[in-house]
Amino acid sequence: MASAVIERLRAQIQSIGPVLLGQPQRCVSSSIPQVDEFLPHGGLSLGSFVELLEASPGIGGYSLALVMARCAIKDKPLWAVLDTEGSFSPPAAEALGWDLRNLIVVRAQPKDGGWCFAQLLRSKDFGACFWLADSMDNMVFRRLQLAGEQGGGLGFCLRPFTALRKPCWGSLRLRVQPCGTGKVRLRILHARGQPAAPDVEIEVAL
Amino acid sequence: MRRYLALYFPRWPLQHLRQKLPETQSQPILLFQRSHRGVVVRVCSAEANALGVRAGMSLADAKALSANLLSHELNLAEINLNLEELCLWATRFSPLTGVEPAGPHAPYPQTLLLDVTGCAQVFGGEEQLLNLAVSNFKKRGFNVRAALAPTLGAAWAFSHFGPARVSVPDEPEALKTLLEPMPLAGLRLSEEVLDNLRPLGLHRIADLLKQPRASLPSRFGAELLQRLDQALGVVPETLLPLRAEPEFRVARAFEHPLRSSEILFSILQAMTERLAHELEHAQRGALHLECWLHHEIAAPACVNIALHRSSHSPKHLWRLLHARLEDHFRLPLKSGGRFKRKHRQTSATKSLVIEAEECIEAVALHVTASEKSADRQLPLFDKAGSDAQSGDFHLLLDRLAARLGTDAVRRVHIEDEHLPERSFKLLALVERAQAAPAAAADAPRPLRLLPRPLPAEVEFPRTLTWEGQQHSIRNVAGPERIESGWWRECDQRRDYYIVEVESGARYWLFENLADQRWFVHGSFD
Repeated sequence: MASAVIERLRAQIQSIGPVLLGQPQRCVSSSIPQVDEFLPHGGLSLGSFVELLEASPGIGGYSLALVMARCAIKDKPLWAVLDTEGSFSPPAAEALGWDLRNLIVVRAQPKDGGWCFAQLLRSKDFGACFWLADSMDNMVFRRLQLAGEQGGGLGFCLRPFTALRKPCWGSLRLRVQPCGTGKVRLRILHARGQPAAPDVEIEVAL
Repeated sequence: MRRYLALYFPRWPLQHLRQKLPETQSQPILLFQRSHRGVVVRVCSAEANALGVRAGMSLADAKALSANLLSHELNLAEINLNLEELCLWATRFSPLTGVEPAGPHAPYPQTLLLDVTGCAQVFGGEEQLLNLAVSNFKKRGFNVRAALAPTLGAAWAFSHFGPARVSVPDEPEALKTLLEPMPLAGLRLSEEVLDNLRPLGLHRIADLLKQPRASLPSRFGAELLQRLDQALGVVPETLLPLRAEPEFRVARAFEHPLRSSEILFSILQAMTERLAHELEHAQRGALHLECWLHHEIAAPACVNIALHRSSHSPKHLWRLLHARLEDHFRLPLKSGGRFKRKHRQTSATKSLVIEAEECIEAVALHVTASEKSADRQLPLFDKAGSDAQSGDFHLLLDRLAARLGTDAVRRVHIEDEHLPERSFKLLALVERAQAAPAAAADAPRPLRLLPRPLPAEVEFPRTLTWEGQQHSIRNVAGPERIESGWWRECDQRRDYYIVEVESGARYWLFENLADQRWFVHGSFD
């Protein structure tokens, strides 16, 4: 009984979500037609961020984020990587077609990660920003939401699978799983403005 | 006529050590150094001298003289750093302070040199300045000899071979008369030149002055006459200050030392506004700003801010400075390591209470680099990227650099190198790449490359054990042979494999062909 009530309330909140948050000004394609079809405005809302959850490094979440962000940098070619691990390898991004001349790499301590990513998202100059985010409290994610709305770019947070039980602060949450060489399988877990996530898995070639 | 103050700290390495280890006071002690001639005594205390220890003898010989002799290795980098700290502390007497450069006359610096031209009147006269400088250093536990003279050379000579404190008049004739009885070592000559002069009966400056000038350079080198003329003021000599004179400066001294960061911040905010006003008036923008915090006891601390684009906006400058100051006061330990910084934060005001030994008695804001407000730097990014940059972009870079450090915000330059860890460089944003980016490698490269390859246990091609977890290997691609150039100091030969484990994760491993050890170098994320 209680779970049914919670489910109903959740559906109501999600249906009025876009009204409360205001209609997104612009959307860009995620480069994945199946994802675009499901999203309420036919693409990723600019001024928000996407959460990608993966079980371990090496699954392909980062590459997927780069694929999804391609359209976001058409108007604003600058992009930024917040590298709190010191492990980002630019030659691999270049091999995926990204222009390193428009890239800024910010190396920060994990404790400064939330603040730093909020600064990058708030900037009106970056088309896309990427961050391998570890555990972060809700207040930081709320700040990221507001910063994204102010900046109008697109953010991508790669989070561990453990974040599955935590609230989603991004406009889209995807679960990324391996699917053989050069491919990933993704499942939409949450999309702002949609009452329920589809029960389908999408294979994406990277 | 200029006036220079030389402050000589006899046996400075020993004084420094005794400050660090007070229990060694009045004990026979020596400092040794390792060289190609073996382990040699460099400095020894008067007590060790009395036992027969001399600088230059081997450590073994010295130890044989007494069982109670204490010995420590001479750390030149550390003693130089501490003398520089003292030099910064001495800026209370003059804005232009420097450390004597090490040279053939001195293997390590022991003297501070201050340009005190026009400063004496602030202290009530030269005598008072001299006394104050000596007493201040003595109060801090240092043995110091001081001399005020019209040339750097003369000040150095009198501080080393004159009375403990002396003021030499400006007149050239009087200076010459006072210098004449000084030993030739007072001219900052190398031991080699002094060894050549001694057998000829030349011991004092007066002896040298009697010789025909023309013949001296050919027999003893150009150094001899140059040093003599510098001491007499015939040839000018420039003091190299430790810190460059700022282009714009705002300073304030307090009657009572400050202990509250809240008050300090409000004063500094007002000073920043004044500095910004001065910059605007001069139609210039700051590129590099220094905030000096002068403490009563500890060496002054400097908080630096480098801007990506010049600014005279008080709001922007203060925001950057405030972020750095907050970080500065929260640091647990000062870099020098001598003074511990433990600031308490009061919950009500969020203000930091500064510990007694680091109470602030004066603050100064220096603009050490600026540019005309009209002379804007080139945009950081080329082509389309530059068009997109808003005015806020540089403010963002400044904010990031102020909080995370100037090294944190980087741009990428691809290098023409085969080794993955050397295949790119992260450059400061202001650095311009010299060469065009090299073509990307054809073979796949991982997006996550570990800063250092981590050792792994591999039973090729069955299992990979890494970070305590064993993975079954499902697929393997490779090998890709990557070698460093033979001209590199450490030649590397590696066979790289892309390994897919049972969870689906793909790692980039290599086998080091030199020792057949396996390493994980990245993951295909």
